[in-house]
Amino acid sequence: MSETTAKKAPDAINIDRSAGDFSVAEEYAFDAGLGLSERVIDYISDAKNEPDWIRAFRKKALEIFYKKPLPTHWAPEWIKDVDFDKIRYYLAKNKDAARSWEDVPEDVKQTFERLGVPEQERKFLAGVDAQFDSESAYSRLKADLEKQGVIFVGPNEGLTKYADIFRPWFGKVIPTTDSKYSALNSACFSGGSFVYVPKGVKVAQPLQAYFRINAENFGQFERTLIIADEGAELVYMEGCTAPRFDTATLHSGVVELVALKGAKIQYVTVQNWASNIYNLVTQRGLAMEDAEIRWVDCNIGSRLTMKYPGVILKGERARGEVLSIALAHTGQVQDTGAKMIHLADGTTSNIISKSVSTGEGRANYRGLVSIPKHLKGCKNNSECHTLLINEHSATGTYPAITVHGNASQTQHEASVSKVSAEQIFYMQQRGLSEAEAMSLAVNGFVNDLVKEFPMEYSVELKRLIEMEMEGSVA
Amino acid sequence: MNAHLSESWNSASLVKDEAWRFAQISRVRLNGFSAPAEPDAAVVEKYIDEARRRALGASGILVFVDERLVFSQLSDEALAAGARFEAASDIPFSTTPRLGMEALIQYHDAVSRSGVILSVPAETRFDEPFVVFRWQCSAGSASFPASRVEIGRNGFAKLCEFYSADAEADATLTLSRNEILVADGAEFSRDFVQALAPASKMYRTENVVAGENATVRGVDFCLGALHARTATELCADGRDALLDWRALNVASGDQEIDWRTIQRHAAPGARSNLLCKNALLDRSRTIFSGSILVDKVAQQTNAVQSCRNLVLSEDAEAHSLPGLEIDANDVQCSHGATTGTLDADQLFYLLQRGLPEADARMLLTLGFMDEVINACAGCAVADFVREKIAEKFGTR
Repeated sequence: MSETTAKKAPDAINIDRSAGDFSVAEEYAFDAGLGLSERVIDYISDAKNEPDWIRAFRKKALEIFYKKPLPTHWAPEWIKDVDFDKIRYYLAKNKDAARSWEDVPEDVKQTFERLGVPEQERKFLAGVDAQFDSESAYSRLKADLEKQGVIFVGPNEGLTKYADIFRPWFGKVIPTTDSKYSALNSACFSGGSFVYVPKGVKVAQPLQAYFRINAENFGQFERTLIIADEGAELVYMEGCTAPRFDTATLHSGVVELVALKGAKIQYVTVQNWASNIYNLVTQRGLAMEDAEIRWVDCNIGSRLTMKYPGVILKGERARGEVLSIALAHTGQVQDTGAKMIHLADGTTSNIISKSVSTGEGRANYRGLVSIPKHLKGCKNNSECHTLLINEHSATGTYPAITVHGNASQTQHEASVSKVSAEQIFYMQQRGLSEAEAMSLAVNGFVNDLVKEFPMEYSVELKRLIEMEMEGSVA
Repeated sequence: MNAHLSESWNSASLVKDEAWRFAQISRVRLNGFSAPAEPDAAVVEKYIDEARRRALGASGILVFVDERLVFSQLSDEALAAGARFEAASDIPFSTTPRLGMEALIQYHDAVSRSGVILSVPAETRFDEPFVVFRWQCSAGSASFPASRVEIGRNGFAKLCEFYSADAEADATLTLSRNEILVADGAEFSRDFVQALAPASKMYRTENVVAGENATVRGVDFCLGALHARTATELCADGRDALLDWRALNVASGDQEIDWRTIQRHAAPGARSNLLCKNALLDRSRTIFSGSILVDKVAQQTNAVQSCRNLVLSEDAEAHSLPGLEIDANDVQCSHGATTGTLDADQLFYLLQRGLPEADARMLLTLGFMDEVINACAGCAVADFVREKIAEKFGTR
């Protein structure tokens, strides 16, 4: 990149988030008020008409939440700006998810329209569970999926209607005690998804859920549990946009995946929250024998994202993979990474992370790979590459790799570089504008990962990067 | 010995320190060590002989036995050129050790009396190395060595440091603080080898500052001690400096060898290259933690860091924590970390040619180590290291 560009565009990547930057006046039937207390937990449990074990689970989690310290270890100082007393922990329009599109209120539809969840897209989707604030405003499964026995509901419906499947795995992959935020989520979760794919069923179309925050100071605590029974396969997609507000907003979800013997789960996230959102998410999968869990993760928005999708490779020959793209611009910290915990022979894992820092943004990679004693034939590969666009862009790479014994192998590499002036010059020679050249270079940098996203997402991502680069040269 | 400080020391204070991640902190203790006894004259004579033999033709030799200077020699050329190479009880340090060593160094500074100063004037060149031998011969004793190296503008020098002990001088504590300052255009190489007795502990810090166009190379060998921790901070302080640091750690038994490094780039155009090689036997553990820190001003930095772990037993464990923290954009920085064992194909090839398996394994292992051993500035340390490694593998 030439010096002139750096000077012209100190904030090179400036995403136009105005498409998602709006708020429709909402009337909430349920509102637990500001702050968190046992009373709020009771309010949530009452509103949801929950069984006692969940109420007890929430209250225990609340205790743990109070006890756990903030993760100040590597988080930026301003993580303390989140005032837990000024957050609304439960807001809901109505308890039951709407059954058909016609039942969805007009103003909600309007919001979806602008977000790009078009009605016609439903035809292509196996099922839409579009979360509007706390509750699923709309949830639908295609008839053929229902026939196959695939369950795709909210967690509340899951824990009441399908308790025998739900309960044994709920909170098992990510224990309440995992961190302050997982405890917080366990205390006041609402919304999210519960997915169960029965033995041998391969869901051909991706399941999609759109998450959205639409109330100021309202933390969204969705809880997702996905269980793929033996030999089952599914792709789950989650995308986020949110309106911009002045005060800090917290988003702290928990996603648990369980892939039983030979199952395959792919979890795709595109995160594009508004730039005041704290996105502190815990995501982890448990892979049994011959199972495969794959996290495909793209972080573009939010003020601070701390997200380290992990896979516990519990069964022999299980495979875990994390593919991650992060884009950080001025005012943003993307602290993302991956965890691979090998617990059986012959397990393999792969981590590829690509991040781009522009303006004064900071994109970090933080990883953990652990291969404990006496395991044989475990392999891990991790790669993280960072592209720094402007003079004040920053990055950090902090992997931790532990290998016990001489029967396993790991390799890790990381690099930091910039788009070279020669590359840009070459493309300009061929008639591209500087912005087009930069866009092409950045797209080329992330291309091999973008291709891993489902088609519609990868097209969107490419377009998004192009848009950002257009803004980089005024 | 400052009893108050060593008694009040509590390793628990390190538990939450990221710089001690993965370390067996409970092994760190400062109390219960004695002041070294007066060494036997015959032993001293033996060590002096060995030092003179190994450092044949050196620009200078200093021999310490249990912190006492027992022999010193400075070549006529070095004397005439105004080089200083001597023992000093007080060392005026100008850098501050970090990487979790702050508390240990505070203790060191309170009690340390056994320092070495090497000072090479500007525009002066010494092709033969300066050599420091530190032998331990009192079991259960504590020592607190220090050193400061200052190379003047466009100077050139080499330093070899030996820390060694007989098997009887076991269960010692060594806390060592070192500093190397290399002025603009100067060139300096340093070889260091630690082969202390198997139940000893050694904690060591080294701060290296390279000026404009300076070239500084270091080779570290960590072979002995039960718990050995080194904190190395390399700083490219001047434009276009070059820093090249390599370490070979051979861990066996219940040893834990822990190397924490920072490659800091505070000026533009500098290059740094850091290589850590760990060979692990038995139930040993190694930890490598490295950070490349590039300041905003340090454009056109080229920094490389790699860690290679060769695990030779099923009970050994290798921890790698490579890291990058980059605040400048026009840089090329990379790190790599691998962990694995001997290549099966290579082993098969050697067996095919009739080598016994033990020899074949040894040959491949030595091949792995040679990249570091061959980087030694003088043959004195390389020869010593080869002997010690042969001993280490031979007694198995």
